Amino acid sequence: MTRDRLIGLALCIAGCILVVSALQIRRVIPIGIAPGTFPIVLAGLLGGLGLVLMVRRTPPAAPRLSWPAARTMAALAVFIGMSAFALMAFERLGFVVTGAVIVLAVGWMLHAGWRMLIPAALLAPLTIQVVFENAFSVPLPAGVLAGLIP
Amino acid sequence: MIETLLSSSALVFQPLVLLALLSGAAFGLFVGAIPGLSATMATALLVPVTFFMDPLPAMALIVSSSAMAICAGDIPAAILRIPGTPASAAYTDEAYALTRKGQANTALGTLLVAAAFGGLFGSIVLMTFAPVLASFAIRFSAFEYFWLAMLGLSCVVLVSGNDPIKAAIALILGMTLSTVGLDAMSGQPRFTFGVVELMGGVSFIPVMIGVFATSAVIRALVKGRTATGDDPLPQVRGRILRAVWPVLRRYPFGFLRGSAIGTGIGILPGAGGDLAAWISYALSRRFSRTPSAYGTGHPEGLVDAGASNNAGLSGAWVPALVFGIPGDAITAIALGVLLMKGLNPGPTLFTADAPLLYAVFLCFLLANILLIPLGLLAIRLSRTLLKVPQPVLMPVILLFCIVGSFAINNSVFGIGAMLAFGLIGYVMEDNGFPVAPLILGLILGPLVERTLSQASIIARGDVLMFFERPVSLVLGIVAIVVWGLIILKAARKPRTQPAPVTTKETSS
Repeated sequence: MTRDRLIGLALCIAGCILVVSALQIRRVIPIGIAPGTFPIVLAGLLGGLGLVLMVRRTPPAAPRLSWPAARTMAALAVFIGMSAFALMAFERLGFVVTGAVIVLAVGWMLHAGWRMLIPAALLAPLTIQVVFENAFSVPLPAGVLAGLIP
Repeated sequence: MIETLLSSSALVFQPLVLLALLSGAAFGLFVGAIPGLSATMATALLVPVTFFMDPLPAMALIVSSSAMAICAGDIPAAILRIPGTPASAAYTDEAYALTRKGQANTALGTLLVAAAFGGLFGSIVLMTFAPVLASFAIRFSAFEYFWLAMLGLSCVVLVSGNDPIKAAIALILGMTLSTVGLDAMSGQPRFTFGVVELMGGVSFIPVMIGVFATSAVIRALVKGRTATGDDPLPQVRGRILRAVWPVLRRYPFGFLRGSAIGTGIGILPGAGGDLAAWISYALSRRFSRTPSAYGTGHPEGLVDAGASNNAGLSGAWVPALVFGIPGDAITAIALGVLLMKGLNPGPTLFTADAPLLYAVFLCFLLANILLIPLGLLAIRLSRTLLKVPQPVLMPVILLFCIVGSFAINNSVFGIGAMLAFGLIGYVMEDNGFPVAPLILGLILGPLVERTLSQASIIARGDVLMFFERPVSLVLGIVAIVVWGLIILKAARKPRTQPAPVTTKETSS
C-alpha cells in the first residue's frame, strides 16, 4: 500500500461523510440553488478524486506506506503536545509564560544552544506582548503575570 | 487620469505609508534572505499587523515585503546554493556557479538589477493594462464571473505541481472549507457540526498562517537541523553595480524578455513568480547564442529569470484587482486583506476607489525603486543575515503565528485552527500536494457559489444561457479546454513520484 492510496481512502471516507452531512441542509428559500447543492457537489468531487487517487496506477518508485522515522514521530509528537499545551494554557497562564515554554520546546528540538535559547524564551514573548498590546491594541492574555506586564 | 495620479501621490507620500513601505521592505528582506522562509510566509505573517492599519499602508506593507522577499531570496541562492524563496530556485545553480568563479558581485548585482527592472516593468503593465481591462470588465454579468472564476481555478490545477489530481484535491478541499458556516443566502448552517465558532466560517487568516508559516516550523522540527550549512561564506566586496554594467550592455534584450514573460505568466491564475522564473530560464537557454555556457555560471540566464520572477509578482495583481481572482498565493492573501478592509476587488474598485488603487500602483513603483538601495544593503549585510540562528528564529516565528491567529477574533479557536492547518499543510507538502490551490479555493469558493447561484436565477434552469453572451461563451470554451488539458495531463502515466518538500516550499 502506498501513502497515496491511504490518503485516497481517507478522502473517500471524508467525501462520503460530507455528502451525508450536506444532504441534511434544509432548503428554506425556493429560488437559486439550494444551500446544500454546492457542498454536495464539492464533497462528491472530493470523494471521487480520493477514489481516483486510491485506484490509479502508481509508479514503482512511489513511497510505500511505512511507519514514520523516529525523528519524524518525535517532532510531530512534540508539535501536537505543544499545540495542546498552547490551547489549554494560553488563557490561563498567559501569552508570556506559554510563549516561553513553546520557544524552549521548539528551540530544544532544533538543537538551539541554551545560551541563546533562554534569553529568547524570556525576551521574545514579553516583547511581542508589549508591542502588540501597546502598538496594535491586541489584548493578549496576561494570565499569571497579570499586573506585571507594562 | 493625471488628477487621479496627483491625488494618489498625495496619499502615498504620507509618513505612515512611507514608513509601511520601508518597514515592509526591511521585513521582506530579512525573511527572503533566510533559506526556508518564503515570500508568501512573509506576507501571511504581516496580515495580523494590517488589521490595525488603514487600507493603503496595509497594502504598501504587503507590496514592499513581497517584492523585497523575492529579491532577497537570491542572496542565499548565489552565496550558499540554497534558494531563499522558491522563486529563486530556477537559477540557483547558475548564480552559485558564478559566485564560485569569484564573481559574486556580478551574480548578486545582476539579480538585483534584473529584479528591480522586472518589478518596474510589471508595475507599469499593471498601471496601464489593469484600468483598461477593468473598463471592459465592468460590463461582465454573473455568467462571465462564473466562467472567469472557473477558468482561474482550472488554471491553478493545471499549473500547480506535477500531479493535477493532487492539485485538484487541494483546490476542492479549499472550496469545501469555504462552504463551512452559515449560508449567505438562506442562513442555514453548513458543515458546522454544532461548533459555534464555525458558524462564521473558516477564517482564511489562520489557514494561511498555518499552511505557509506553521508548516515551515514543523518541517524544521522534523528535519531537526537548519537550512544553512557551516561552509565559510564568501565575502562580497567592491562596487556591486559596476560589475553589472557589462552584463546590462551585453544582454539588454534579456531584461525585457524576462520581464514580459514574467508579467504574462504572473497574470495566469496560480502560476506566480516561481513558474515564471523556470520558464524564462528555459527560454533564455533555448534562444541563447551560447546555450552550452548555461549551468557554468553564465549571467544571461540570471538576467531573464531574475527579471521574470519579480515581474510575475506584479502581473499576478492584474486578475486580482480587476476580477477579484488572485494570480498567486501572495495576491490571494492581499485580496483577503482588501476584503477585510471593506474593499471589494473588481472593476468597480477602479471607479469607486480610483485614488486609493492608483496609490497602490505607486507603492509598487516605489517598492521596486527601493529594491536597489535596500538590496545593495542586504547584499552587504549578507554574511550577518545568513548567520541568523534558525533554531531560535523558528520558535519566534511560531509565536507570531499564534498572536496573528489569536488577534482575528481574540479567540483561542483561531490558534487551534492555525496549528491544525499547519499540520495539514505539512502533511500535504510531504505527500506532494501543492498548498496554493487550497488557499485559492478557500478565497474563490464563495465567488463561484455566488455567481453560480445568481446565474442560475437569471437562467431559470437553461444551461445554454451560460454560453449565450459572447465573453461568457469564450471564457466557457477556454475553461472547458483547460479541463480537457487537465484530464489529459492526469491520464498520462506519471513518470516519477514528486519528491517530498525538503528545504523549499511550493509557492513563493
